[in-house]
Amino acid sequence: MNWKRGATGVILAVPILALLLFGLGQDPRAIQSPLPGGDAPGFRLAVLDGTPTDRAMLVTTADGSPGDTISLEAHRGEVVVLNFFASWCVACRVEHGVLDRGARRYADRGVRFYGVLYQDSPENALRWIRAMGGQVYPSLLDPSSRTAIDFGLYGVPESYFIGPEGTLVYKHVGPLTDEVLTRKLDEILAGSAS
Amino acid sequence: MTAAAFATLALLAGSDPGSAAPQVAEPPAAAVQATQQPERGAPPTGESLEAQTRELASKLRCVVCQGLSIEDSPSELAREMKGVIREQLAAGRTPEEVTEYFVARYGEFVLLAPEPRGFNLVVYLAPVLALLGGAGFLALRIRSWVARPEDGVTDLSVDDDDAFLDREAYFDDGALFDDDVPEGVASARHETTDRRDG
Repeated sequence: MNWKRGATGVILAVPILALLLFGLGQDPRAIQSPLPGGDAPGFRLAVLDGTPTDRAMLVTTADGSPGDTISLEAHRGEVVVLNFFASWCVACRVEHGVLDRGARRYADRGVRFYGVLYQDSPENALRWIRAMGGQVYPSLLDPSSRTAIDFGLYGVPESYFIGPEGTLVYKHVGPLTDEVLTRKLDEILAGSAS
Repeated sequence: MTAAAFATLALLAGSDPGSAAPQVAEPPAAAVQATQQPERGAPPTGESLEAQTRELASKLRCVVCQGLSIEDSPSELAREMKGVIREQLAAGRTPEEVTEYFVARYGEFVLLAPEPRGFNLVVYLAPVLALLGGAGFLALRIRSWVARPEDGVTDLSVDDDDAFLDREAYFDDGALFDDDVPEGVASARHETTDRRDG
């Protein structure tokens, strides 16, 4: 074994090992969406009947009567938390309490919470919400997942934090915790106040 | 050898992959106009719409199963995504614009063939590099293997076992570096070279 062979071996092996080491630090299943930081995609979704709804937020139809849809446009100046969930989603069970507590705590600070049902039937969703002990915020229907795709969703639960200017500030993949929810909302509220 | 290899690589990098995949990242405005103009006229319908949808769907990665294209994936979300492709094409969007729609939401991850630029170039260049490196290494080894039998015939009759083993060890070690040849072996090698040449 001479030193030149050793050197050649090291020169060949180091970049390969570095590449593999870099790969170890990556989650191959995580998808980094480029959306956060830009404008949140607009949406207009029907409310799931049986969930509490602020009638004032319903989009009025052409004849002036209140319809049954909610649009993002109507929420300028408010912070919106959009949570995609399904009754078949196990992690959503853990998260439901966090969202419900958050919705109560931030109700008077201009934060709106919405659930968006993902690939599930309204009946299942209603039964599930009842089983979870009910919720104080409305849930919306996204029957062909168009809004989910618009937001770059690839699984449930996923939550999107939209600032008062309509900017998608933060995307959370997986169940939210009290800590993350509080920290992100306080950041957004502090940012918009200054 | 290495200079030639790098020149070849540079050529490959410059010419080959750029044309292979659609250019999503900010193509010059003029080029966009030129390529999109003919398709702006009439959105595809019927069979041609289905064919275009299938073609595009097979280039995009399903974000649920991740190893499959949207076309091949049985997942619900992939089906809906294929629906989005069909809708957008039918509305007169070009395949490039539809691709851009998905890249803007899911990142380059959705492209089954990554864009050949930046760090992605590793994927395109590493195999070429490994192939050229391997070929170069083999060429060097074969040259030393070819040189051996001739030496072997004369060496076998040499009484000096140590000298023989030295040479054997030297060639086994791979005659990659000329200046690594031990003293005695060096002279022996020069002898054979002279014999062959003369």
